Amino acid sequence: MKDTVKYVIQRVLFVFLTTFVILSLTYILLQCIKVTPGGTDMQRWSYWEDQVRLGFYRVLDPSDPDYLERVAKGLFDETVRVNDRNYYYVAEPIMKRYVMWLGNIFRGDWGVSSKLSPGRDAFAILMAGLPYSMRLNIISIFISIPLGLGLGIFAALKKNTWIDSTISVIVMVFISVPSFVLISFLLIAFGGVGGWPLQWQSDAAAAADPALAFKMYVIPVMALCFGSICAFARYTRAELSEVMSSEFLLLARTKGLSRSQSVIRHALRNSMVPIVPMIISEFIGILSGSMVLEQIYGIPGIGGIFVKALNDRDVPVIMVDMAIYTTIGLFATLIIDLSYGVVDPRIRMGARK
Amino acid sequence: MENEEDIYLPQENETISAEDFTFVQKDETIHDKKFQTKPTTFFKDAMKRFAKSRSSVVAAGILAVLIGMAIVVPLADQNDIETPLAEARYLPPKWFDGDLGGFLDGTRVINNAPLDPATGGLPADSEYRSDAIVGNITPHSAYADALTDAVKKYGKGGDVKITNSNVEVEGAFAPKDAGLMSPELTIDLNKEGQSISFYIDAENMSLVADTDLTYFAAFVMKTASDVGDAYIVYPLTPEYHWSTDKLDVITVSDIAAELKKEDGFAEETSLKGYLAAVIGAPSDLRSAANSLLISKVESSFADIVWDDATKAMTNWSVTDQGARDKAGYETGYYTSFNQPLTSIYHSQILYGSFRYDAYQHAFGDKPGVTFSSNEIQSFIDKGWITYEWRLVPGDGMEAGAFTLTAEGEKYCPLRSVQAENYYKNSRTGAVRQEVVGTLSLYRRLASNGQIAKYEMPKYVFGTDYNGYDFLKLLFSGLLVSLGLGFLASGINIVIGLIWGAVSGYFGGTADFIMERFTEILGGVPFIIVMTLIVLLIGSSFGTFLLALCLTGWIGVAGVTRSQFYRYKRREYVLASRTLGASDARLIFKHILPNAVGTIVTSAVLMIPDVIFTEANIAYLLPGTMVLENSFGVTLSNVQKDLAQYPYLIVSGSIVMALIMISFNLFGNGLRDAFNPSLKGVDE
Repeated sequence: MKDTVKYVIQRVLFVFLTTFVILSLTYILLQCIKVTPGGTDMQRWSYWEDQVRLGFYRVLDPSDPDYLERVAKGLFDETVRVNDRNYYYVAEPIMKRYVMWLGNIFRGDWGVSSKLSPGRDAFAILMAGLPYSMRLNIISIFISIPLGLGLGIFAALKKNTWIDSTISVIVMVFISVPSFVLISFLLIAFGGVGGWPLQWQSDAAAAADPALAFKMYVIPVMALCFGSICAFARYTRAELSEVMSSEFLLLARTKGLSRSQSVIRHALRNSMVPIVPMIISEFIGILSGSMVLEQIYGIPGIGGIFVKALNDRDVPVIMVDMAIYTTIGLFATLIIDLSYGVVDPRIRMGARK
Repeated sequence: MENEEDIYLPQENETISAEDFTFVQKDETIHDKKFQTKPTTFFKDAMKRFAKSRSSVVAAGILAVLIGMAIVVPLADQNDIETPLAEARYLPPKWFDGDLGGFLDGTRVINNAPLDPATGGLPADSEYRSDAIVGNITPHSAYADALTDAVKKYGKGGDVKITNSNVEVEGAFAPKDAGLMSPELTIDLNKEGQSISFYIDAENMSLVADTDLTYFAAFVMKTASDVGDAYIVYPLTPEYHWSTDKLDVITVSDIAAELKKEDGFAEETSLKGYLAAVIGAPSDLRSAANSLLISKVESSFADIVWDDATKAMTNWSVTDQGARDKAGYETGYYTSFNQPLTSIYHSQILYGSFRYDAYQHAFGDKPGVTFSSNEIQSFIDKGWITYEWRLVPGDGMEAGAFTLTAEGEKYCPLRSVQAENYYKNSRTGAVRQEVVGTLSLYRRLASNGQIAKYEMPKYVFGTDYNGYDFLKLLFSGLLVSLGLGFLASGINIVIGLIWGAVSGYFGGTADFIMERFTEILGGVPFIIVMTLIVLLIGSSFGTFLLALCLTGWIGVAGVTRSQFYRYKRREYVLASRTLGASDARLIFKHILPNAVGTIVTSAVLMIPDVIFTEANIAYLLPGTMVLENSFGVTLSNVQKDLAQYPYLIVSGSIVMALIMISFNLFGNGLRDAFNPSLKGVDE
């Protein structure tokens, strides 16, 4: 027990360390890209002022003795003209910016967006997008887990019949087909039927029309579901059919249990060992959005925001989004590892051998 | 048991004599026999197992075909995919000649082509040609509520819709009277019987619930002010309420008499101004707008009368007086005051639906094209045609004798002549000498070098916006992507093998450090790696490869490492070590060969992964990542045509899906063949 606790603490600390290292590397690398804030001059001015406040830049003071000389020689990195005055900004060295940045994020200040939505707090932008992604993911999880497990169990119980092969073929096709292909076909199909929104609708439109609010979820939820239904079905089938052919199940049958008793009491429980972690990781994945889907369907979730921020080179937003994605990814791996031990006590976590 | 008769069954009471018992091989010595079968190697054995899995073999076959096509199609297909060809824009796929009811025969269904209401056929200036229509036109009349070019040309009837605008003043909606205003006219205050009637389409009007629309006819005078135009409105009728009055027509039978009732007009003899239908924005209305539909205007003033709203509005849309005079518009130019929104409502327009041969339109024979005498002469010089000019003055005269030579049969863009134009200016002596004939469009394009061959093109997957052959575009893209996949997979395997081998073989601290390193590297989302690299060094094939290889080897390293952990403690390795084998020899000679199967499998499965990643990136970051003509870029470029020209994305997606599925099946088959013990796992 003591070993386990120590192992868990070690792993958690390591997750934080890894996140820290990854974010630091990304930050430093991203600093090599020139940021061009968008919007009006006023918005750009307030962006640079915010950079000064965060300590990444400093503004040239007209009362400095060498002010004119520096301006004349072009010894500044950015300039913006507002209120009939030119402001000149000089970038701090990268390492200094990095240190300042670290200080800022420990205080929870991730800076403001430069281009995506100029002047808005980067963290707030992401938080505004999170509910959309979460809602879609939650709906699709509650559809895909029962369906996926059900299909997998059904296929395993009917192994080597036409039902099994049909399910396997469908699963193979859907696992292989990239999500954008799937989305395109869904859009063509629903576009052919007519009456279905082929783009995400605004909140106002959805509030005005409850039917639309339901309909606009259908295509994205289907697009999200197919993949995970198939993944679950494939995994469940493989696990269950392996357990079904094991000796202890034969013993259970010879002992006199009926087929359904043996399947429900013994086979299913054992086959769930590797599947439960999968389900758990699916739940952690709620927090992250599918970039391709959100981009194509125009959903304002965090996946779509990430892609937009990347296309706009909006460094502060990229950093927040990356922090979310990296942390979720690493914690998912961690929790999967830990859950093996919880589901199956025979697996000792952190065992040396 | 096959030959039951051959088996000897003892009969009842049969006696067996001693002679029946003989010693077999009594005098022979028995030696080990050499194996009759051929020796097999690990690979041969694996291939044998692979060949038994039917789906994998089929997948391998499909894969071979697709890869073969990726190599052959870009070479064999002569179509140009570098210079756009507007004529060939968005052609549907064509596999077969002849009419197959729209199935891959190069026709598409056109639904809303405006028809000429007079003839029921295509109008002369239609974008479609009647000779390219397959079958019949199914006409259907429809209402159009926007004044599009087609509506302007071919629409008729309907109503003018004036909607009171919501003028927002400091956050609150300030309703204002607004209206539709006739051209300026002069009212003679001493003349009787000057009248105006606005006919209202009461049947089609519907108002926002619980609001009231007030409306009336008025005389409007414009006064100059600092802000701009200001209007003084003199009501000629009482203010009607839609909720109680619901008039079909607002009539003023004697305008002069009504105006004289106003203060200050008693002295005047004539007034300059406008007659208007005015709607008052209801005071209880804050955010929605109501509309009045006016179907016609009758008046004693001839030039403000109209009875066809579509025609009238088309007239008004021409604001330039010169152009108006030229077009001979009868009615004057109506305007509006206080910004009501004016639009057309339910203009009737006749549309036709038909199947349209896009190839005939783009490449077929087009009659009625004028050829200059220079062109004719050049055809004669090339020996394609003979032609005798008749030179009878006038346009559209009977043509002279025309023949196509054998060579001309193949190459000449002029196929037949219908008429000859000849005109000589007696004063300047200038001569115009032309032939009107049938032009073979594809022969002209071919002679200009815009298409490859002197034959009707046939695009199997259709063409895209630029008129590029999508088949060629797709498979040249596939070639780029496959190249990227093979290269990336090769490099990743080499790096991964070395990394995994070192990490697994030596273990301990080295392993720990190397593992943490891969963990951190693997933790960075791929899209970030990609973006960073492309932003820092630019986007090219090499950059893509670099980005793919930067983190792609981690998987292979992991697999190799676990294989090494499995085999390094085996007895035979220990034996070899005691005999003095070096580390390198142990790694490469004794341990690595065990892992070959797994590694080959992961290499194969990495190729579709790379294609998939590249396509994903092309979809996600279209502005940043431009790997020219790759498969993903080709696909993402036609994503925008999904609604109108779905055949592009469909054919691309099918190829993509086939590639993915067959690579996966092939890889799984390989894994099962190389590693029979793993068979059935995650399948």
